[in-house]
Amino acid sequence: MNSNRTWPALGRFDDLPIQLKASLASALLLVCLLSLGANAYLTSTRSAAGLRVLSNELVPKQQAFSDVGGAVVATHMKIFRFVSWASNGVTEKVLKPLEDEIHAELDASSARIAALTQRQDLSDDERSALQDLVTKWESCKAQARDTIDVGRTDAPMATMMIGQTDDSFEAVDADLRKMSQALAAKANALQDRLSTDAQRNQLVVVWVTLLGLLISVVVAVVIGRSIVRPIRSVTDVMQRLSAGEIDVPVDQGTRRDEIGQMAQAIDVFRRNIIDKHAVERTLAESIEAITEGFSLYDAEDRLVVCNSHYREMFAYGPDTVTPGMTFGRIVSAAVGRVVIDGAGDGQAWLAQRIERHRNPTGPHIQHRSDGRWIRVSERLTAAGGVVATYTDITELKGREAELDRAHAQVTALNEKLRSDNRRMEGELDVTRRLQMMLLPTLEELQQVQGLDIACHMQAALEVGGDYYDVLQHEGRVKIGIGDVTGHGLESGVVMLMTQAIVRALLTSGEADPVRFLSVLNTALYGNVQRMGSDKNLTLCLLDYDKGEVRVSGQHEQVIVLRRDGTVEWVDTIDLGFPIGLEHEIAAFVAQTTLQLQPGDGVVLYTDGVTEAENMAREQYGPERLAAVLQAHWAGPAEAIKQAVVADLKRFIGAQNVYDDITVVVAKQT
Amino acid sequence: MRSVLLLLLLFSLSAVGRPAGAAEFGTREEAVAMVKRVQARFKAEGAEATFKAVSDKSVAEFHDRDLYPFIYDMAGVNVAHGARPALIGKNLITLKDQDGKFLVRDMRDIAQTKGRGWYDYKWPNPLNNKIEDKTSYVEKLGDYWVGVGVYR
Repeated sequence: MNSNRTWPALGRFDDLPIQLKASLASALLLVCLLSLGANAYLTSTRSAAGLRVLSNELVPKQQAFSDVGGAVVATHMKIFRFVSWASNGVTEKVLKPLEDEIHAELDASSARIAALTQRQDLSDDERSALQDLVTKWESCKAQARDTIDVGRTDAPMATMMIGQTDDSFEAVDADLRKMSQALAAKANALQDRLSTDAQRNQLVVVWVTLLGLLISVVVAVVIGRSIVRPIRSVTDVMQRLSAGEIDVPVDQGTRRDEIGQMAQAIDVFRRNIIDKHAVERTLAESIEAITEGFSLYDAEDRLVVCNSHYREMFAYGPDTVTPGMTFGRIVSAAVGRVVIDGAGDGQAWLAQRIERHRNPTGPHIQHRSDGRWIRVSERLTAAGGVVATYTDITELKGREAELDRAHAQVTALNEKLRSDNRRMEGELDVTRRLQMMLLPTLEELQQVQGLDIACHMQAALEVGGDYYDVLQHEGRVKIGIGDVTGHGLESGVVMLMTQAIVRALLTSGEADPVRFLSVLNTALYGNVQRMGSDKNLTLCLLDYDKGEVRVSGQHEQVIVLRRDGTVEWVDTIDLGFPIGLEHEIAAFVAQTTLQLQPGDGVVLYTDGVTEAENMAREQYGPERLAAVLQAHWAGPAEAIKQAVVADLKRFIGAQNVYDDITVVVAKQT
Repeated sequence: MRSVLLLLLLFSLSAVGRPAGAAEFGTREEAVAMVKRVQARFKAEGAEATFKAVSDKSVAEFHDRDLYPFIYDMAGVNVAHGARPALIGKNLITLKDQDGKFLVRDMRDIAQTKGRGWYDYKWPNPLNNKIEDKTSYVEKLGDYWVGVGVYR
């Protein structure tokens, strides 16, 4: 198959375009034909020229010389006759006609020789030879006339003169014969040449014909090797491709001629088939993977493709529904096996079903005797076929029923809730009033020695459990901030109790923060237990005494701002435990001490500040808070507090406030 | 030499007076004498008169039995002939006898180169018109040459 191996010299030849090869072969044969034609033309032209010379020049000329020679000899003979007759006493009367005849012939010969000299086809040699001849003839003629003249009266003398006449005539005759022979030799040479030409022409024709034959054979073999065989191989590949075989190696693709291009195109075609098969397989697998029954019918309503779920819908086993079957045939065969509600009269239902399949108006639902609910969704395709999906919605149907039941319950509950709501609104109102009722008054805050204090609390729609307080007892100042879990009345009550216990403990003179928080926790825990609630709270307490602050209890971080605007964060995670959650928390409580110089201060806040959200549901965050504090720290506590509240409100915008917002600013004076 | 010439002259003079029939044919001496007479006439009367006399058969001085003179120019043209007037005016330089001898040319050569001499050839006898062996004596004659021969 690889011609490169068997014919290495033709490797490059294979790359030449076929058209060029064919032209090359034709050109070679054409050269042979042309050389044959040229040879024939040249040879025949030469032969014609030679024959023309022969027939128009040499032969007539030789004939003319020969004729003159004949005439001269004849005259010569007559002179002999004359002298003979004269010597034998023939009478004057008889001699006279012969004498006249001889004179006439001599003149005629003179004229003929003159005519010879006038010929146009004479060679230089012939011309000079004729000049000689004319001279000789003149003396010959003179001698002949002398002889005749003498012979008329003196026969013996004429006999004497015969000798010289004889010589002269012979000389003339010899010259003429020589010239004639020269011409004959020329003619013979020409004939020989023509004959040689003819023989050589014959040889050329034979050899060139043989060469043409050889070229034809070589061309046939070469074309067979370099065109026909690769084409046959390519054809074989195409036949195998069309027979569905795709794993066919396409050789010849490395050739650079038309066959190479053809082979490359076929290889592309073959790869496309492979790709197409892959796509078809992927498609078939995808269709099979669909949980619904899937089918596609063509415009003549013949099945193109379907998956096994579809077959199951008609209670068919595998390989019983095959592409090419019409929908009518598939569905009518299924009627016996699948019982569908409403399909009582089989024939009428069948006709209706087929009609619906061909002209789908929208999904319809079949309830089958086995209890399954099937939604049949059929649509026309752009090509006029029908694509159908069969979805088992039995489960969905069950859930629908459940939903219906749930809906009834919800409606009933809603009715109950509406009355509950009215009661809860009253509850919330009480709670809010309780919360606000116990906050420290402006006068109390202004009486605190050494600290400039400003506070803000805004309750959420549904009251949270925020707590803050500033208390003084015997020169000691206690600031507290906390957040009870949850909302509503319970949270409000826990907050209320916390405030009462803190004031009671402070008033009792408890100065140790650990005992303070521990007793607070145990007292509150008992009440919360009694309430049957799981409420608890974070609580941080600050004890201030002449520039020293002791921090205890777990809550949000405490922000310490220095006079120059530097921010410090005091983490309270390790300073306590949620209050009211456990019976005993003393082990968890600790304290940390801060020193405040004039202009320094602390800021307390609840998570309602840092977790407030804007319209984009972003949280306000401690960093924003710190930045606002820094920007306004030079002012009095009230101004700082207002700046924080204004910035926070601007941030929240129209967003709901979900939790209470509490801020306490205390600045060392 | 002079004595020989004188003798010859005398001999020829005596022959003139010889009565007819004294001998049937002329002799060599008579031939030479006739040549001398032609020379004498040529010297005395010139070429034309001599030629006329030689060709005129009635002039006995030049016609004696088989003896007669013949005169050619150097080109071989016969200018006077004692026996065959038909030859007068004909160029016979290429004339051959039966033996193939170019007799006119040869005799001219003798006259031209040696001035005189004898030459053998064949020629018709005017007495019987038979071709016989002949010996002629030739001499240069001015621009011509003259010969008289005897048959043998």
